[in-house]
Amino acid sequence: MTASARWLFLLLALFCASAWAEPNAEAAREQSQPGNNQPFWLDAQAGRVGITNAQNIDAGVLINTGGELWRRLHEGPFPFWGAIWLAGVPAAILAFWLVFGPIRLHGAESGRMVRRFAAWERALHWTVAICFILLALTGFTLFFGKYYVEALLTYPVYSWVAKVAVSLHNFTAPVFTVAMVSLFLAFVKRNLWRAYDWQWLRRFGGFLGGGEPPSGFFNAGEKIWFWLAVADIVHLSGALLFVGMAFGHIYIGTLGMRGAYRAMREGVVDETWAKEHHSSWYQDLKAGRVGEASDAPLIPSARPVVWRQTD
Amino acid sequence: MARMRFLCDAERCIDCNACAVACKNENEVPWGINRRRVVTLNEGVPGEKSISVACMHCTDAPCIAVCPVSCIYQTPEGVVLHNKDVCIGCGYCFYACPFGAPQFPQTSAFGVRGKMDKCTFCAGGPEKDMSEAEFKKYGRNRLAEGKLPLCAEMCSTKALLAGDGDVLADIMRTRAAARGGSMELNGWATAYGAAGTKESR
Repeated sequence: MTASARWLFLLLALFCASAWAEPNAEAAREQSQPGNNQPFWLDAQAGRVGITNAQNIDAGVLINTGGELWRRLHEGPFPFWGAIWLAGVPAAILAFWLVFGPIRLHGAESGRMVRRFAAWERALHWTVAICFILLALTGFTLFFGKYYVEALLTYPVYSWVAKVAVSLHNFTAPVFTVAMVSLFLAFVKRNLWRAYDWQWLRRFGGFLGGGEPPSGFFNAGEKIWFWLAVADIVHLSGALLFVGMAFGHIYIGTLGMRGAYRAMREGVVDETWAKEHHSSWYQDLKAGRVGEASDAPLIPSARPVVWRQTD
Repeated sequence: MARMRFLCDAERCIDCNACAVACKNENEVPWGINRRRVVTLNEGVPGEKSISVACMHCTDAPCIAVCPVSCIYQTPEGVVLHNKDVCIGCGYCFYACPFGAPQFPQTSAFGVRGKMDKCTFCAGGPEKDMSEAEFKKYGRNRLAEGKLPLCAEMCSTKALLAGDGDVLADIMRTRAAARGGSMELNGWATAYGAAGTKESR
């Protein structure tokens, strides 16, 4: 850009800025009713960003009511419905188990094993699982603590528990995130939606048989607040949903379905299990369209886990 | 019993920041923390007004409602104080507060928040009144000494007032009557509830 073009640009910018600098409501009111600063206070209550020497986040905002909705959600429906959800899901699973019992194989076990999960896949899964349980327990302590845990432990003791919980939560979270993203990448291809998945869902997996400075509508301060609050609510909703679904996942992976736990511990399943529970995968396997999981141990010198059949 | 409140007169505040300086000095506030700050709207144009703002010691204080470890409490005089030994630095009070009062020194590794710090209405904390431990954690306990917050005591134009809410309202009423303008208790609706309601007592 040449020097003259730069000057032209600057002049244009100055012209635009002067066009924006209309007299504000407070200045107009000072002319009509000196001493009445209602327009100033309306600006303050609307969260307009001003000038301040303080360098803290959002320091230029006098009154920011954006946190009020967050407070109402965080202290109202979330602990209430969250507690119902977290207590209701295990109760429903228990009832289901008592009525129907675990899912057993219809046919006899073949005794031939197919490798379903490689060692690295299982290691990744258990990393996510351990982090998840840590996060869920510490998150529960922090979010529901003042309703349940504090009464149990008394006030100052609970504070120490909460301090440990907040540190564990903060330091587990990055490990969980990395492990979770890796798990996603490892399994994403096998999780692409297929036509038969609709059918599975329809039959419920077989269970059922079926102004100035320029700002828009919200100013910068309100927006920061909004995203902070949204992030927390999304985090909380996601966490509550995730923990509730995890109960189902843990149930079906252990008590709920014979042979499922073995797949993630040893990596192998019986051919009959594969045929009954993942028939399309089994057919692909037999037809050679997909290969079995690698049987290489994670640590080359490690001995394989010996599984003892108990049921 | 008196209900302690802050009030700032927008017609009088001249943005000198003496309140903020007095607060930092009297309470030996940690670096990076501003328990009180002055905010100016319409800076440099007609209609410029400034207001000094700190913790307003709200009646239904959002910080008290959201604190997961219940470390924030209110004295019988309405002053909102907190216990730094119990605080876990989660930042919920910062999300909830409309006045930007709670702040966190970043003392530990990985940007972990330290203990929350905010204006105490120069009333210290849960430690023994005027003890060394109280001063180190929360600053001076001027209420225990029979004095009012230094920010308001220092204010050269008496724009910033601190003390019994009824007395402050009377002062403001007198000023407003003399000016022929309206009552300027606008910030109070957010902190203490709308006039005439139970919260506004």
